[in-house]
Amino acid sequence: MIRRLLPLVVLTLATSCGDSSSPLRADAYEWRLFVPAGATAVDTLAFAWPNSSLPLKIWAEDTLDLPTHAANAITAWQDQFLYGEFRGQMVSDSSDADIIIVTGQLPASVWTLRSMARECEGGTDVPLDPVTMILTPPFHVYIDPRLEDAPALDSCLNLTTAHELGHALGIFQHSPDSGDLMYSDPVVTAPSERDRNTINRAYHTPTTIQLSR
Amino acid sequence: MHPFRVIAAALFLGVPGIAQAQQPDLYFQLGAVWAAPLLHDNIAGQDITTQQSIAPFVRLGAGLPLDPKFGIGLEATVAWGGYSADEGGTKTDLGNITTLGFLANLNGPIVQRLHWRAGIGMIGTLPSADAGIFLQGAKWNVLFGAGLDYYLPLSTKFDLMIGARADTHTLTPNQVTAVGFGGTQWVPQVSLGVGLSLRKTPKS
Repeated sequence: MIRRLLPLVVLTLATSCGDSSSPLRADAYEWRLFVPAGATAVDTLAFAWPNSSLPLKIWAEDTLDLPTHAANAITAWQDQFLYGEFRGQMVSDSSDADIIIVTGQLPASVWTLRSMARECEGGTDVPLDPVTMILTPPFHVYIDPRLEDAPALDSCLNLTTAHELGHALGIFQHSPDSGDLMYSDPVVTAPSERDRNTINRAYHTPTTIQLSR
Repeated sequence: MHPFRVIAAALFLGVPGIAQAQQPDLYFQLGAVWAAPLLHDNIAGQDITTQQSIAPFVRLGAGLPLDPKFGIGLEATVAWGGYSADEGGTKTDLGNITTLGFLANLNGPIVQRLHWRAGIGMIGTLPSADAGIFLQGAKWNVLFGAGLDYYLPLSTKFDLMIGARADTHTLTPNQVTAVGFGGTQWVPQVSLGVGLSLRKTPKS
């Protein structure tokens, strides 16, 4: 009997050596910010929240259903990761938050990123000191409902909140492709494959920005 | 009918029914199982390995000797453990997984106290949360296993049983396929357990 089973055992061991192949994730866009540093030099600014900061604490103003949009945005981005690189949770006290989401127009600031959907506008104020290059949370995200009675406002608020959360997670540029959530005038409602590849690359590339707590 | 239900029905209905007519083979074991990495990945040049921790298990088995050299059996093993992702020595805890495996097997003695066992079955990897590589849940996979059991007489009714197993199963969660992984991941496991069985060693 053992002799009859031996080929089965050998076959089992042989097949068990196989591994699945990982995706290349090559289709991604630039997420890092390049800033002048002197006359000819350029500084590359790359940021990702460290694992020790997780879960990120996110607070949203209780208007226009922003807490729901923020929770949806957390889920949308969490689902892009395989290895727990980002986890977020809603908190009830803004003083405890890493990211604060409010309604209103983005104030004039040094480091801002905007999205320009038709019914609403969003902006993220990156709390980065331009001299020391030290980032001190919280990020402030501003959601501005430009057409409050527009039928598509709810959808716009949802995708704009997700877009701005993408900036707060470290995507410091816009995608050049309109099929991506991180396009400057986003129309898609969830992160695309290119968004997923980009945020994954961002979270597995050394950061150049220091985080201050 | 789902294969899991067939195996469960055989375990709870079929084997005890047959065993009433002949000398049954019943045992349980407690032990620990080690599994090879669940997944290898590379993102932006960084290697990432997802692996289960060494996990305690409980195994229940039943069987029926068909002749002095050959029998059939079915064993169920449930194991609980954590799993984590390792990137350059930095580990991220990803929660817990429970594995539930069923192995329909052939078995028989090699020498008086040492028996072999080999078979095929199914294993389910059940995560504590639908997230990460298990975002779209887990599924049942085919399991091939083989092992040895050593029996030491303990009393007139029971033997102390020491069991070693080596098995391998496929693991390709839907989420992993969805993000572009190709091929099939095989996950070999080895386990060692100690338990009791109805006496198999000859009575002196």
